[in-house]
Amino acid sequence: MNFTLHQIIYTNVSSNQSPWKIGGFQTLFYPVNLIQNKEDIVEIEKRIHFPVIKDVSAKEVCFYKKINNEIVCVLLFFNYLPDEKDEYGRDGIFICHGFFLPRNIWKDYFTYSKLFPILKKHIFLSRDELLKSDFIHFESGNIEPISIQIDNVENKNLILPDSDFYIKSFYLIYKLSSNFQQYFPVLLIQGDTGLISNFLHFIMKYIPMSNKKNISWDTCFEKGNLSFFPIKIIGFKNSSPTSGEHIFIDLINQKIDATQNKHHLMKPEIPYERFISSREKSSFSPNDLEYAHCLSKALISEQYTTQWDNSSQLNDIFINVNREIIENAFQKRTTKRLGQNMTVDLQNEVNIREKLFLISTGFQSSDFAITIENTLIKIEKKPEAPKLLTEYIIAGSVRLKTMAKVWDKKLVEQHLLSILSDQKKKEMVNYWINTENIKKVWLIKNIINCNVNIDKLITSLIIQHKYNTMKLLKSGISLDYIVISTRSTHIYPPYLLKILIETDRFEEAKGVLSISPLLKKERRKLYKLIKNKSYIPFDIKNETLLLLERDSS
Amino acid sequence: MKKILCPICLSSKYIKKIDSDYICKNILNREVIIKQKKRKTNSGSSNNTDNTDTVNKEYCNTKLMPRYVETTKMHKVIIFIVGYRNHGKTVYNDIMMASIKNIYKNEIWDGYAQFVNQKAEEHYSEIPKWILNGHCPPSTQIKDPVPIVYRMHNVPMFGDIVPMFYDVKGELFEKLEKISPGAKYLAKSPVVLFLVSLKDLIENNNDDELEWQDKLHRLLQIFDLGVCRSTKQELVVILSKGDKLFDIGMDQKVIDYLNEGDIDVYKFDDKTNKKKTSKNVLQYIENMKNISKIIRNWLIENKCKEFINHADSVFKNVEFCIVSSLGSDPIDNKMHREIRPNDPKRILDPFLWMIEKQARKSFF
Repeated sequence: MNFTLHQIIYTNVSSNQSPWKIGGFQTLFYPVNLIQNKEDIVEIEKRIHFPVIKDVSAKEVCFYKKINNEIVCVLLFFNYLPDEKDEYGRDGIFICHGFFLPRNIWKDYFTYSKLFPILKKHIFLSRDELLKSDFIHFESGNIEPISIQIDNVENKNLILPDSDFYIKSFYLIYKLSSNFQQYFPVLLIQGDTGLISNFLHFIMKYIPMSNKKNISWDTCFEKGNLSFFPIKIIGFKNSSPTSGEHIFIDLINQKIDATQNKHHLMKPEIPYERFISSREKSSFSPNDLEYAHCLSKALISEQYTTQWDNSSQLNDIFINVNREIIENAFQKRTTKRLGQNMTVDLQNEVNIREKLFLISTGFQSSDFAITIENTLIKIEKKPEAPKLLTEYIIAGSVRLKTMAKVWDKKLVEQHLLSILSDQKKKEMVNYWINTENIKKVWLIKNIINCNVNIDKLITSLIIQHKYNTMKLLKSGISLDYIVISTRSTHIYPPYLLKILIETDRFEEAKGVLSISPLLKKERRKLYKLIKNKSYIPFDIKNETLLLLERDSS
Repeated sequence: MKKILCPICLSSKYIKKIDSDYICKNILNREVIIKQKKRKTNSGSSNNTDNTDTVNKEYCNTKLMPRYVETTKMHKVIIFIVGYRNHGKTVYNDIMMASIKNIYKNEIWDGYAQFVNQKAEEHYSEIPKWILNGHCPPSTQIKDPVPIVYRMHNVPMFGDIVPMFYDVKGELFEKLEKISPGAKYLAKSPVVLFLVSLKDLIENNNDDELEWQDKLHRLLQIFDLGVCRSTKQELVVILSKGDKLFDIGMDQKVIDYLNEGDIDVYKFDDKTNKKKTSKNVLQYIENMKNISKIIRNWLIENKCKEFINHADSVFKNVEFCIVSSLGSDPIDNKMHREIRPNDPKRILDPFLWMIEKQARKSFF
């Protein structure tokens, strides 16, 4: 694809060679229409420094900067001009030629090792060449953009060398790019500028695109003072820069020197780092890295992505190396959302893949609600604090919404239930039977609404509460509802009727639930019992169910 | 923990000894993050806020040489020169350091100079190269300098002195927005050195540019606006390239004073050196003050009254001196021969002003 890149030139000229009529080192040409705020130029100039030392004739600087509300990658190429002098005849002249890479390039098409050779072809290597160029407009100080062609990032396999030095270097640079901690120590890399450049280009392949914007490097800052220098990865050849906290990377001997309190920075603490160094897969594609980085971000910083790929092999690798982190993150985040008790249940019942899925997608209402309802139904437990299930979560599932209504002692609307499959209805009724007090009218109404085979329900009701009911009746405590079933083979209903009549407790009941068909004899008995009472039928389903409720008026 | 001035961050608070190293634990940046927590009141209707302050600190962490830390009680002299491009800041800095070496080597002062940081150690061997081949140093690139720190033993009357030389690029002082963040060093120095080459100011005056008097004033204006100072500093204005000032009509007394200013003039052969009241040193300083007055009057006569008025109002004291770092004008940035110890003239006058002003509390 073709792209247009803006340019910037910084060098030393006499005042009559400068569009700005000043002599000395200065930003000579820049895209005047793109950079309208002069402070942007000052910010770029803060990063421009070329140490005049033996054997260093070129270097590069890379950083990211917001210009006109867009983050651009600024690549600066420095070349020493040993044969050129300033207007006073002094040495130390260099030319710095920079390019602004817009977001669409550095996001999608950018590998440093690929791009640098393309850009280097466009670099001015002398001031004469620059001043004769057609790109510059001397009157305005503007420089025209260049046009380059870049292919998309190759989806080739990346293999991190099995070397302690490279792995630790990767951990350091990745942590730096992840804003792992405030005031990250400066990474000082000793070696030739070319070596440093290649080393950084290599490590950068493993840094996800979204993190690259947090990285800045200068391949040679010999003897510099780091106190006010904004770049965090600093190369040098012989004499180390001074000040600030730093970690020393010796490229030649492949050693990293850091004080004890910084050793943790060279360990895989972030899930992405564990993933990269897992060795469970021999190589990764750039897309793999981006995917793993998204999972990692979701785990560490609750930055969610919707790119969950259920079929991806990477999930298993990621889970294997980050099991503990996933468990902890899941526990922490469900506790925040649902409280301690329900978290324990979810922690025990939900499998780790589903946990990672929920974390990576940010506990979206629809997914989280299904996980919760499945768990509750499975463990047949009512949440101790149902109110913690917010409207947002409940809205994600019809069944959870239905269950929540029951917890609120409300009648479940028919239209909610009609959506559920028979299997789901049955599961839900079973759940209610095993978790709720079956004497409650709203529950029975809901069960009726569910339109499921009621036999099982009634049997369950009787089995569960037979002894309780008897006990209550005998002790003179009134029943809210009385259940009569002739279909049931259980001995309870006739026996219950007998007790009701004998103890005369029937009158205190609010209603009677009967399973039809009653025997004529039984029905007569029943009607006789209630004939003086003002019961009204509540619902009749295919003549198999009769619920009489006392008229409150 | 010891208290000592760190040459990198120029704070004098805490130097921590870790194992056998001394590490500066002064805070470079302090960021206070105020987190606001919303808290519901009992009524639930309104919100109050709790403020929690989190302080993030970045420490200087410069490793200091034990020999430097031992200099706790010695006078630290910060030499940070403000001046335009090509007015001779680097040359003056380098020649001054070379002269400091020569002054002990030639037994003018009875003592020794010792480098006490890594930069000084590197510089120690680098200075003579350009001085020997007479080729002036390249233009300076440094914005935030690492100083060169020496320890000067037995300076006449003043005892042991630790000068710290900071060299920065001249472009910093050409525009207000460029002066930061190196300005931090300037703000912390009790004495500021302005180095100006009047000849260059006058000669490089194009028709469309400011007059040289305005350029001189502009340097002060940029400094005054760009450097945030908490206390009033002292100013020493060094007229560099003094050998060229005769051409522009500088007072003959000043020219004579300059021409007589070989390195030997600093031989204060006085047995009372160590008593901190050397008559010869006091006499020399008195001479410097006289020269300062003459230069001041000359500048006033040459339409620089605005500069002097401004300087008098923003600095505690303003003094003037004249130096010639190379003794003669280089051609194409190259001397016709190596630079010898007696070529520079009155090279240590600014240094003596610095010591006199920075150590005055103890001695005067």
